Formats: sequence, structure tokens, C-alpha cells
Amino acid sequence: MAGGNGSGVVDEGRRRALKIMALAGMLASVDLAVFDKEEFKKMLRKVGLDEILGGDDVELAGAGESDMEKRAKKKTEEMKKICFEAAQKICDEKGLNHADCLAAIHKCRKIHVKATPPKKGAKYAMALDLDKCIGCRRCEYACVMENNTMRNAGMEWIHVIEYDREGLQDLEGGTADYRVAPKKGKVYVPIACMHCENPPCVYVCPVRATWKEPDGIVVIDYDKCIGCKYCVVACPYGARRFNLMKPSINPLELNPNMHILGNLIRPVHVTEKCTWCIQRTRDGGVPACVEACPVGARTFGDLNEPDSPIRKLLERYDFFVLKPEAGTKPKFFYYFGGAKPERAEGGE
Amino acid sequence: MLSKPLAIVGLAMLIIILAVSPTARAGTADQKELYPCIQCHAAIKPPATTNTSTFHNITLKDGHSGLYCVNCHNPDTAMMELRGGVPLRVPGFHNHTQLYDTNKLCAQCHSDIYELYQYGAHGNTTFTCPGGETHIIIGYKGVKYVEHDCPPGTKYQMKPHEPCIVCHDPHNPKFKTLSILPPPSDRPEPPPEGEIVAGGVSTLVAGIALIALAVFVQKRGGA
Amino acid sequence: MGALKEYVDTIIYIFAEGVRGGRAYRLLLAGLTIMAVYGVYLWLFVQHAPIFLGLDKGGLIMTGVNENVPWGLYISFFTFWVGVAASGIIFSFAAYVFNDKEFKKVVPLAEAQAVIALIITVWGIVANLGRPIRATFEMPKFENLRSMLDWDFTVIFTYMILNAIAFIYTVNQMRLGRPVSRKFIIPYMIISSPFAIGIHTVTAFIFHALTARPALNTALLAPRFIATAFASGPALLLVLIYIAEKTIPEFKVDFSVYKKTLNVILVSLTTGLFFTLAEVHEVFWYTTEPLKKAQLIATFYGGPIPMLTALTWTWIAFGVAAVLLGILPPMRRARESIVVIALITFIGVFAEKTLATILPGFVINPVGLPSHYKIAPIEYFVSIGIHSTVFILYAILARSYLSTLLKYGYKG
Repeated sequence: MAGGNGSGVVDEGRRRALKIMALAGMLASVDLAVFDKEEFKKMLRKVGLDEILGGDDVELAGAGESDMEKRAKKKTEEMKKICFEAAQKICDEKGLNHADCLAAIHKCRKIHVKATPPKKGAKYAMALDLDKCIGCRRCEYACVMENNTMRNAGMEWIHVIEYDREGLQDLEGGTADYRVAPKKGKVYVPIACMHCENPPCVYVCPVRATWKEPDGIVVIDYDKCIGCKYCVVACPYGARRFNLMKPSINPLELNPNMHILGNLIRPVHVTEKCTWCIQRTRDGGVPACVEACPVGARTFGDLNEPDSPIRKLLERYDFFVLKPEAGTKPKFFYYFGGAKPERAEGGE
Repeated sequence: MLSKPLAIVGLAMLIIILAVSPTARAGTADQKELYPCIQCHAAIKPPATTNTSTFHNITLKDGHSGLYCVNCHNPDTAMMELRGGVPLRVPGFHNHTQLYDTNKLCAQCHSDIYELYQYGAHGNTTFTCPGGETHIIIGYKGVKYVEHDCPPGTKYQMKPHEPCIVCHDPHNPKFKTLSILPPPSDRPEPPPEGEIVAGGVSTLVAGIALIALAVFVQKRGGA
Repeated sequence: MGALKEYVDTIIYIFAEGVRGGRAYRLLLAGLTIMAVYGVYLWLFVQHAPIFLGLDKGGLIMTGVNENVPWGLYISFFTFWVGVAASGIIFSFAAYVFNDKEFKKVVPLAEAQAVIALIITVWGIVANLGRPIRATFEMPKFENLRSMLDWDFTVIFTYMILNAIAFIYTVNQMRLGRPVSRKFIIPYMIISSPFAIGIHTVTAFIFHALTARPALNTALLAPRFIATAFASGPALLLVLIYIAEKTIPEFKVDFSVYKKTLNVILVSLTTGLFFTLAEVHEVFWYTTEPLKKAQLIATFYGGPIPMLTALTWTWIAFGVAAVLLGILPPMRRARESIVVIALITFIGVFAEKTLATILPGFVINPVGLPSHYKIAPIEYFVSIGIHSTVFILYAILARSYLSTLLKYGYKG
């Protein structure tokens, strides 16, 4: 023993610590020896990491379809109630026969919350031509209108950011508050949710309130979100927004076409973000930003459909994604310049 | 040995002069058609009584600036028909479906883009739904917004893109720069903090005073 | 059944003993209570009014947090106090593994400190949480084990309960005049030491694996957390022991406790400073990674959040000062000077482990835009309220332990 001439307390203590460690080690080895190893391995396989971690192909949807639909019906009533309450205020103010009052009530009646399930085999993607984008922000406005976003809290899901041409690659020195555009030597980059293949926001959610749908859209369940904002911290594109206050709605500007995972009137203190207008795209439409773009810079479509516009673009142009080093594999592609020349394949 | 390079330079210059000078080119019979109309019509004004159209003083700009009228218009039909038998269409004069006729002419040069256009990857994108309506409404902060008023449960149908000449004026094909809108939402105004600060500071003062008193009492008691 | 009643009695005893005291003590509690009540009121009925009262106004908009700085002052207190809690284990180790009698006396104080520190951390998270009521139902389901928050939730609550059990057990044994049994302490040590390191490691893991925040995306974050935690926790305890010694004349702690703790503080502090240096070198020597560089330049040279730069330099200045003072022999001879060093350490680490730890990840947002963060008044007062509430609890626990110690003596 090392502490032969040991003087008292400390050495004794050290010996005791060693004893404790030896005991713990023995316990562990006995455990391993007693364990049937095959059984142990089987157990490991059963609770496979993929299952726990939720791989890319695992459908993370928390609720079944019928369940969603039931909830959507309930939500319709809830939304109507909120809307009528707001409409009541308008009617009290302006009189029952005022056009605004009637319009508001008409809007509220039309509210319908859908729970359209994802289309089988679809994989959505969006592309944006940076040469065409003039930074006019019409997509932001259309998005705000379409998604019933709160108007007065800086919540817009799309941010158009002006970068220097040199700064684009590093995403350096941008500003979202430009007043004159387009300027020479600047490039305008609309940034919203990229609907990544490896979404960090989904991985960090402690209650699985956000997940990636089979058609590639990353959605949030507003009834499950606990508002911890971990996903806001984890998003490498700053695409998530947090409802810091109770959303105020104007029934006159309400979009009655709602989806349970999309543009509901959000409750207070939950996260929200772009859903590629799930209420439109699941029914075969295009997102509002694509429709509103005055220069046709945006293209949206199904990657798995050979004739979709997005596939054709992918074939003809060289694309890049923001922050490829983050490894998130975004489904939002940017491109500029001319089309690739068509080359003959093969050849020696 | 000096004469050979000189001869080459001379020949090259001759070729360049021939190439760039329209008058020089006009001499040959088969290029007569490509004579740029406004070259003469800039100087030679038709008499006031002559019934000429306003199209005569059109200048081709931007991407099309190097072209001549007859590149697209067929002079044999007094310019009233386009090349390749494509009929002449004017937005606002002809109806919407008729405007698609001119796409064929655009496609002759811009085959790449036309292909993408056909697939829906170039141009504006919108959709309709059977049994529903599409309104353009003046939305948030007076910005136009396309509202699709579709009955629940219908499948949307993509609409083909607008004809080329709706967005691109053939005589000035560059897309017009649009106005820039201000950042959409106003930042949240700071919530009223006066009461909180007043309450907080008074509580803090009271609390710290009590604690100080406690220390004082302790000191005196201890001493 | 008898044992259970014994422990229930002990818990009642702890609180009954804790609130008893002279006029000074009652005044102290009253002062803390005023601040606590106002802070809790602000949190429940002003900041979280839409949740708890269903009002239209209020909400987290009243705090300084925004889309670019989603985590602010509350979470910074979470990172700081979790470190203080983790350091309780140092005293337990010194006391039981090395069988140091003098340390055994202060171990329950360290355990109580760990408990209250963990209450602050949990409260900090909850105050920053959008929907605390929903979280109480959803979090225990552990639906996504990939999320670090789930793990943090687990380890923090486990460690809190372990410490509370140890504290109650010790007081119980002392009250009944029984020695603290090794049969309890050894398994307790084996179970709780990984959790002590675990709470802080997992807290660092919450931040460090995010590619979105390159300034925090460093494997050195967890070691740095632990190093500074082992400086700040003992420093705080040293200050508190000194206060206890001054206020309760009968309570005396041997000078060796001060000296040994100072050594722990100095070693940890030096390690922490060294880790900071390593991070600075990593970024400023060669790195061309744009966002990381931008975030750290904003941290060290000043950027959109000036407070961050001030806090960072406070940490470096106070840390270096504490180390330099600590190695001077004359400073190590008196309790007072050691307590001063502990105070300097505490302030330095407080500056670093609160906002200066988390804000570098937010100061430039992931797409290169500058963020803005200003601590709102409500954040100050709610934080003061949280701290006051927890200090009341600590005063109660510490007082009941100390009076038990004086009444019955320690049998180890």
C-alpha cells in the first residue's frame, strides 16, 4: 500500500474512496456477467436508437388522422368563437348594419379548420432565383395576410435580408431594414423556414410539439407547445418566431381557410413559423409568397413528381442552400445565373 | 515581310467595317429585309396627312436592343403579323386567351426559358378551385392580396402562367422594377413600465431598509 | 411507520426551528418577503397574465426577450445557479471521502445551498417558459429523449430530491442524537456525485450542440461550466459560513475549511480562466468561420449588446484579480481576506456565468443580423423576487440546521 507511513485522516479517506470505487466496479462487472448477453443485445436492439432519436424517415406525427380531424372540428368552433368575439366589437362600434360588421360576420361564418393529411409520396421543396428577387417584400405581406400573423409584434415569418454580394456566402453584414431597393452590388435573400431534412428544431423539442411530416413540411402543434423556445435557439436560420403576446385579430382581414397545423389564430406563448401554407399546398395550391411574388422568383413543387416545376428547375440550374455546413439539408434552394448547358451523358 | 501582316489587318478592318455599318450591309440584296426601320424614320418624317401608326417610333430596349423590327414583325403583311405566321396580339386590345398566341414567337429564341415556363417554373404562379372564387383584395397596409374563396374540401387546380407579353413588353422586355414596401410589421411598442418600476423600486427600498435594520439590530444586540 | 413519522416530524421541526429567531432575524425575513411577494406577483399576474389570468395584455413581450434573443436573464440565472448547486458535492467529498470532521459540519449547509440553487434554476426556466401549466403535464411524459431539456429536467429534479433527502436525514439524525450512518452516506455519495456533475454538464449540453449558435458550439462549454461552478459554489458557501460565524457566536468553523476551500476556488478559477483563454485563441488566432468570429468579436470588443462586453471583461478582470490575490501568502492567513477573495470570485463568475455565457450565442443572429437585448424592469424585479423567495428558504434551512448543530452537537 502506498500510504505505509500514512499519517491519519487523509490516507484513510483515500483508502476508503478506493474501496468504494472497487466495490462499484465489482458491482458493474457482476452485473455484466450475470446478464445474459444475447438477451442484453436484444434489448438494445429493441429500443433502437432510431426509435428513440427519431430518424429522418420515421413519421413523427404525434396523432393519428382521425384524431387530428376531430381536433380540427373542435378548433373550428374555437376559432369561430374568437372571431365572433372580435366581430362583436366591430358591430358594437359601427352598428349592426354597417358593411364592416356584416363582412366580419360573413368572414367568421366561413372559418373552416382543415386537417388535410399529407399526400402520399410527396416531398415539397421551394426554389428562389436571387437574380430575380428585387427585395420588394410583397411575399412578407402576402404571408402575413394568408397566415393570420399578428400584425404588431414583428412576427412575419419571412424576412427579406439585404446582403452585400460578397457577404452573401458568409451571411455577413445583412440588414432587414432597408428602405430603397434594389441597389447595385446588393442581393436580396428572403429567408423563412427551410423545412430541413435534418431539422435541429425538431430534435430539441422536449415534448415533440414539432415534427416533420412525411411530405417534408415541418409543423408545430400549437396545443402541445410549452413555449420553452429551445427550437428558436436551435434553428440555424432564425426562422422561428415566438408569440410573445396574445395575438390580436381583425376579422375583416382574417383568412378563414385554416389548417390545424398552420394558420390558426395562434394562442399566446407558442412558437410558430412558415408551414409552406399547409392549408393551400396540401390541397394542391401554392404558398401565398409564391403567388404574390411579382417577379416570379419563387417556385414551389413536389420533388417526387417528375414534371413538377421544381424538378425541372433542379435539373436546369445549379442550386445552393444557406449554411450547408450546418448539415441540415434544407429543402429551400437558392439559385442565380443562367441555366446549365445540357451535356451529353457518358462518352469517353 | 512587312506587307503580309498589313494586308491581314487591312482585311480585318474591312470586315469589321462591313459588319458594323448597316449602310454597308444594306447593299446586299438578301439582307435588305433587316434594314433597321428607325434608322431612316428618325430623320425622314412622314407627312402629317399620312396615316401612320404610332408604332413607328418605337425604340427597342434592353435585351432586345440589338434587334430590328423585322426580326419579329413580318414586313410582307405590313408588319401586322409576326414572323412564322404568328398573329399580332396587343394586351388590352385582344382578350386574354388570344395573347397566348404570341408565346410561340418568344419561344423561337428563348427556348430554355420557354421550357421552364411550360413546366410552371418561370412566371407568375396561381391557382383556382372549382366552385370557388378568386378575389384580389386590398389587404394589410393596402397591399394587394389574392384571396381564394374555395369551398372546403375542394382540390385546387394550378392555372397556366400569364402569356409572355403580359409581363414582358416585347419592345422593352426587361421586367419593370416595382416599388419597395416598408418592413411589414411595426416593432412591438414598449409596454408601459412606469407602474412596474415604481412598484419595484418602492418594494426594493422597503425590503433593503428592513434588511439593513435587521443588520443594525443584530450589531447592537451582539455588541 | 415509525420511521416515516419521525421524518415528518423532522420536516415540521426544520420549518418551526427555521422561523424562530430574534428581532433581527424576523426583520430580515420580512424584508425578503416584501421583495419576494412583489416579484412573484409580477411574474404570475403581470408577466404571465395571459396564462394565469387569461388576460389580453401582458405576456413575455414585457421582458427583454425577442425573436433573436429568446433566452434572457432568467435562463442566465439558470446557468449560474445550476453551477452553484453542482459544487455542493465538493464539500460532501471532502467530508466523507477524506473524512474531514470540520467539513462534515458544513456539508448540510452545502446541501441546503444545492437545494435552493436548484429551486432558482427551475424557477428561472419556468419564468421564461411560455406555458408553465402545460409544461407540468407534458414534460414528465419524456416524449423526445433526444431533447437535452428532458434530460436536464430529470437530472435537476433527481439531484434536488437527493440533496433534500440528505439534508433532512442529517438533521433527523442530529435531532435524535444518532450519528450519521455510513450505510446512508456511501450509497448517497455514489448516486449523487454523477448527478452533481450531471446537472451542470447537461445544462452545458443544452447549449453546446447547436450549430445555430457557433459561439456556444464548442465542446469546451461543459468543462468551462464545471470549472467556474467549482469556483463560485464554494466561494458563495464560504461567504455564507463567514456570515453565520459572525451572527451566531457559538458557531465556529475551523480555519482549515477556509484554506482548503480557497485552494479549490483557486484551482477551479485558474482552470476556468484557462478555458476562456483557449476559446479566445480558437477564435481570434486563425478561425475564418464567419458567424463564430462575429459573435465573439461582439462579445469581446463590443457589438449590438454593450452589456455583454462589460460582463465578459468583468469576469476576466475579477477572475485574474482573485487568482493573483489568492496566491499571495499574506492574503491566505486571515479569514477576512479569504472571504474577500471569495467575494471577488463570486462576482467574477456571476458576471461570466449569467448573461456573458448565453448572450454570445445570440448577439449576432444565425443569419448575420445584430440582435438587441435590454433587460426590462420586470425581469429585474421578477428575478429579485425569485431570489428573495429562495433566500428565505435558505435562511430557514440554514438556521434550523445551525441551531440543531448547536443544540445537539455533531456526531459523525
